[in-house]
Amino acid sequence: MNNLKTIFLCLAILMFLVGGVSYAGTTYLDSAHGTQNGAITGVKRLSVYTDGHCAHCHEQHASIAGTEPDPKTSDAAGPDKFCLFADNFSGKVTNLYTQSDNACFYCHRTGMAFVNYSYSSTFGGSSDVTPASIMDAFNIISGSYHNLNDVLNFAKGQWPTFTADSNPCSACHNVHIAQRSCGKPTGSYDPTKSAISRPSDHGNLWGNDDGTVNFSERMDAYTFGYRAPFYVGATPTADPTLHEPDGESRLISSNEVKGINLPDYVTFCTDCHNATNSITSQALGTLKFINWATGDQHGKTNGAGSADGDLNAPYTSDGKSTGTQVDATDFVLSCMDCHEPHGSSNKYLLRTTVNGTAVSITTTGVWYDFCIACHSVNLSTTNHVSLTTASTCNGAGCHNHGSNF
Amino acid sequence: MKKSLIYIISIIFFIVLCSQVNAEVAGNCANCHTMHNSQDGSDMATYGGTSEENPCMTRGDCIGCHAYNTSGTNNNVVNIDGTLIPQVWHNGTDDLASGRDLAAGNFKYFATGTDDNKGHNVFAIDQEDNASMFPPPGYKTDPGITATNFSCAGKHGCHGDRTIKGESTSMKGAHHADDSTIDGLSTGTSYRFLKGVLGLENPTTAWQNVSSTDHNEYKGLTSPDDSASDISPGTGGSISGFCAECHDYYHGDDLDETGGTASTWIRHPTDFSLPSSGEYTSYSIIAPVARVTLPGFPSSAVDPAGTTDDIVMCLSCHGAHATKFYKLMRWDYNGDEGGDLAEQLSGCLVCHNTLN
Repeated sequence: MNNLKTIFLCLAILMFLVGGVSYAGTTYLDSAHGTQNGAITGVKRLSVYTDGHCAHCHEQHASIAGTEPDPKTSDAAGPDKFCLFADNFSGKVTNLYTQSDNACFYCHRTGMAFVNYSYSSTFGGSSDVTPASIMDAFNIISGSYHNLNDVLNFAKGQWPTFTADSNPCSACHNVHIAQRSCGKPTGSYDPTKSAISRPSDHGNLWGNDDGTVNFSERMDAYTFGYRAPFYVGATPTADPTLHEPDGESRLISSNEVKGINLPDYVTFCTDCHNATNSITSQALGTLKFINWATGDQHGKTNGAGSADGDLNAPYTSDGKSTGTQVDATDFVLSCMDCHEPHGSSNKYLLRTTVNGTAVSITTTGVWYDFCIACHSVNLSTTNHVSLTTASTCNGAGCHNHGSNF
Repeated sequence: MKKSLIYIISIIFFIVLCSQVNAEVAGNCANCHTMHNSQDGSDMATYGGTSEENPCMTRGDCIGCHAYNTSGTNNNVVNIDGTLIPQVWHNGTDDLASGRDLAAGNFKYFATGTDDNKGHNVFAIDQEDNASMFPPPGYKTDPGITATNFSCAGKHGCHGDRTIKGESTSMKGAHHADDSTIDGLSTGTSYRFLKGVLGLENPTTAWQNVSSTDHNEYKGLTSPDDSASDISPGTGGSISGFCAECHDYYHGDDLDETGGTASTWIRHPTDFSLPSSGEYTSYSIIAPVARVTLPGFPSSAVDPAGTTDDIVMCLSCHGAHATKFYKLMRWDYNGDEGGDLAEQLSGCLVCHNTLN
């Protein structure tokens, strides 16, 4: 009996030790800005310092040998908060943003040695590489963008890690640990790396844990079930075929299609956009509450189905046959299945490529083209009989977040 | 005749004084002084290779004694006729992190190299006249220091009384002062003869920071000293306040460092408590901290609560004289010495260890 206790004790100690080793926190040197252990080139501004060096963003004295290094005009003149080389955020209320509005835009703009394409392009396979930078995404005029001042105003009163002096980008990203997870459309995808941190947990990455050591931060954690949308070029009637986010050919039954390689964007986004937070938007006023747990058919609410439409693959029972409604189960969507994080030429940050299909939504409420990427819509039924493909879908409490159908 | 009498009386007074004062410097007066710069017809003021007549009848100027034999090995401290003298320029190769160099570093790194940005380029050691490095970066009031007058002590230097022009004159009497109490009231009773600065000079391994328990203790404050000026570190006697005599904008007052708010730094803070979130978990000679309350003996203790005793200072990152690294940094900050990125940031991460 004592031997059994000893063995059990040893196993428990071993488990803790192994667990401790496995739970190595993400460091700056593991981050995209910190060169990501040599795998990619980190942040670079000054020739005197190695790629990834702190000094590219932070000036300890706003001076090297008595002279402020470039940039040193306009917002970048003199010392700046957080010892940054330029003003962190100007507080500009609406776009168009310039470099001087956001320190991040000094690098995350066009003309650099790296690109940051849209979600639709990077993870959805769209060949549309416009916008090609974060700054450009925030500067889309006719579409929509995640208003930086709105982000700042909400976040600064919400979490102690975020203050009025913070950069709005820091609400979603921790620049000291953020990693580049995907080089697509031409590079590779690594789900163990993540660019995002929950606003409520700024010190840690979100989405990099698959549940092996810590609890899962991936979409497959939803018992409701998740299916990754098709990647551009997929054959919807085939199994396997190409799926987001890595564009690899996967079986519909694979763990990847169930979301094991996709960050749980629902938990991430609902830190802000949830059922209780009142968020003021410069463009939209007070935003709708998002009740992903019980109040949204794209969330955990089990869609009842109706004669007004049906589901397309891969959201059907076999994942490839349009119109075979899944019974006895339902799917939860990732916010990123429909929305861009930074900006979009579509309204409401709607993606320009959804479920492998290019979509253009330029009029609020005229969602038809967007919906049919995943739904077949029957325009002859009672509820749709008076409507056309150019009709608004969000009137009369019909199709928006929180509606019952 | 009258002049001769005064001269003789002065010499007698000087000799008597030397023999009676309980000074920091011990040993025979002749170890350091020469009456006539002549002994059996040979020059006596030859320390540092010079044969000049020096003020205070010393046998060498500052570097004459403190850079006595720059070509020797393992000679960061030399014994000259029984007196131990720290060598600010010596031929060792150790860096500050090793604990084997002097606490302020080694002027060798710019004296024998071409890289002037590794140290404080006093003219006596660096005579290349690199005017572009002057006035001191970060100055508010131009101290008048130039490539050709930058000295170890005095108005255009660091040590001694900075209101007095002239190295030796500004240091007058300091080496003979009873410095058993460092009170900053005179040059001789100031930490390392930096007038007005407080601190604990390492009693175990003199002039060196060897380990977490064997090191100097530097004076720090919980906020920049508003009483500091271009000739005084302020009544608080902090080492960072002293650096700010020339590099004011790198230290300055609250507004200079924070841009007017209490929490967002616009320059790296000095004279400020490290936060209580455990960034600095053990005393490090790679990135040492200052103390608000100086201990009676060098201590390895740090206060994670961060209320008074983990004070970031200029010397947390920089050497005082010269180091082998870019900008007098205590570690290979820009990789000039071959360090990879991890090594370049190693000193930063001593404090900013949540990023590590």
